[in-house]
Amino acid sequence: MSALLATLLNHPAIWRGDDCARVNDTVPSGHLELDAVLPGGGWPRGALTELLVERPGIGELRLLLPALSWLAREDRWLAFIAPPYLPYAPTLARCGIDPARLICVRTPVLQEQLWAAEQALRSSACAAVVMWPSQLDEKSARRFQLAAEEGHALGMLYGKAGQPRASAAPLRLQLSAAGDGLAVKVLKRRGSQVAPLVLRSTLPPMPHPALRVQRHYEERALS
Amino acid sequence: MILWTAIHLPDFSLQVFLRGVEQPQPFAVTGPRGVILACNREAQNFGIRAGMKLSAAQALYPGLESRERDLKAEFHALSTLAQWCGQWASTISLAPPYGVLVETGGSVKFFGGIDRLAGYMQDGLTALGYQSLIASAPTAGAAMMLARAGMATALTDPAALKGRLKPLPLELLDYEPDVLDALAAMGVRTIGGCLSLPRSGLARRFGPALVDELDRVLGELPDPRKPFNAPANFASRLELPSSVEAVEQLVFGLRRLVGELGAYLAPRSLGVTRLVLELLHDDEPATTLTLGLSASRDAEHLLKVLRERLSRTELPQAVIALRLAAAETAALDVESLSLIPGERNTEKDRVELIERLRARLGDTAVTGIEAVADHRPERAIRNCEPGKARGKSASSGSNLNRQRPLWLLPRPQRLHSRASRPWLGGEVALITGPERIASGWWDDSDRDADATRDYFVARAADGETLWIYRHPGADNWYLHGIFS
Repeated sequence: MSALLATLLNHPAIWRGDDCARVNDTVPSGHLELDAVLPGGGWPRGALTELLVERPGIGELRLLLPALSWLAREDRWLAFIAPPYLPYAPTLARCGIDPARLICVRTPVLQEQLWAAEQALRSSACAAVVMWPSQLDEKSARRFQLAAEEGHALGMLYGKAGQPRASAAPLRLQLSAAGDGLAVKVLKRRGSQVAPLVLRSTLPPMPHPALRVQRHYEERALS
Repeated sequence: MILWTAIHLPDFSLQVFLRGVEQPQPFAVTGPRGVILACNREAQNFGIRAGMKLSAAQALYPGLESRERDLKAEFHALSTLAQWCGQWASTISLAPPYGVLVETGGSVKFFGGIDRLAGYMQDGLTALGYQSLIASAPTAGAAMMLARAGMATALTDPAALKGRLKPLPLELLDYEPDVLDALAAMGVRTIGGCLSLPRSGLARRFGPALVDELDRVLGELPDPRKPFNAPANFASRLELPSSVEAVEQLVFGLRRLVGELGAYLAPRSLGVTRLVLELLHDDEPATTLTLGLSASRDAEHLLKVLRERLSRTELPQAVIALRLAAAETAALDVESLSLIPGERNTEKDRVELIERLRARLGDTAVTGIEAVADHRPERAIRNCEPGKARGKSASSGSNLNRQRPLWLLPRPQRLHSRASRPWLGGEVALITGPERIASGWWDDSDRDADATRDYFVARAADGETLWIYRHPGADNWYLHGIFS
């Protein structure tokens, strides 16, 4: 391949169908196997990511903790919109997430949940917005995606698996229990299909996840 | 240099009512015996004129809305305007019924010239919903006469004063109408005509006060004006031409009030921390909305917050007037502007997000969460003000090696059990435990809580990791947390 062609193909605006798309601004997920299949090597910032969970309680929040603990170092909020239960602050603190960064918005009204999520995504005040709306339609997902772009937030949307529908989210994962670990299937990404993978999981307390992310950044910088 | 800038508000009695609506309907203000004093252009299009009887006007346009002239509201609005003028100069004087005088000689240089200053004033007044005529002259009386004559000029040379005033009609003089009528009957219609009469005769015929008034206008006698003392607090009221039932229709008027509030706060380097909005009704007591804010004077933000709050307010009755008051203010430093374009002020963003969410959802719906040093799980977390959570250090000590869930159920949930083993859609396998946690028998409020619990980490048949407990020796299992 000529050098010129290689330069051209390396341009961030170009991605090839057999490859993973280049996404410039990502936050490493803290799970190396997962980063390998995520475009840009991590959760995309300024975008909506849908996490379709087979059943709550299988480790779907643990999956995000390394990234959240990394983002908690920024001078912005981590917003939990309509969380299903009470976030247990001591555990979060132990995982490297300063509780002072966390805001919770609780309202039983679906319409208000969606409104609050959109406000939080759009405001640029939140590094990450994690949402558990009781229901979601395609239109709201599209609005969330636009709002996340505007506010440059990591939008994480939990939904129920098994209800196929179109979505504006550029990244969609399906999560299910797999013994001790968590099975992750990439339903949609910018790039070709990949085989499902299983992440080993440990119960909290874990090694400080922010450190893992930091190590990962250093490795990336070296390579 | 002394320079007076006069603001004359030609349609004041009308605009006191109309400035709160975006698209006014035909509207008239009536005086005694139902005579129309002023009407807006929409009404004039139907042939309605000032001086008509209201009944005659309604024959021309049956839908004509009208209100009796409200002198109290006018005076209040004029005072608010004088307070608003505090951003341009320190010496301000009321010139009722339709004028405000501002001594701009000291500040004109700061604003880059009198023409520019007059432009700022005019734009500001337009944003508040007032039409204005602005003129400046070395004496207060002359400035007001020029403004009333509609001559938007700035006269800075005292020597040129006489020449400019001579052609003006005499009725612009702020003097008893009877005297001016008598002069007009004599054929004296202009200032110049009056000045050319012999002074002694004029004083003998109409009293020395008229001559003195002319001398004051021309700057030959001192003309002290009573300075306006701005009230210490901000409160402004806005009348509506007709009662309004839809909340969205109030937003336009609210924008006017917030603009006035901003002009009150900015020169004082204040931000409002408690804002009270009253929606006044005909019979019902006023609906009062109180907003707690972190010190702010950003009009767009205040408006957004008020709007969210309004959108979840139920009105018992239609609204006839709005009243906005700054109940508490706090010093607010000059906003630091970023040198890097596009960089956001995240502190401001964060505060504004919380206030917007709270305005719509209520204060309790938006919280932070903090860790408390207590070994009882229910007591180890508590809601707090967003961003104020302590507890980074609360997880120190012996708890560090214990497994704690990410989610806690607000109330432990009783599980089924089969053969004294927990059951949740299948058998629940115990992984680690027990870990004994004793409740606070020493704590009065905890007395009715169950005493001692043995906690286990367990896995449900379909893969969820749970935190469950039972009382020692008992068979009932409770779900208390989820290791999500």
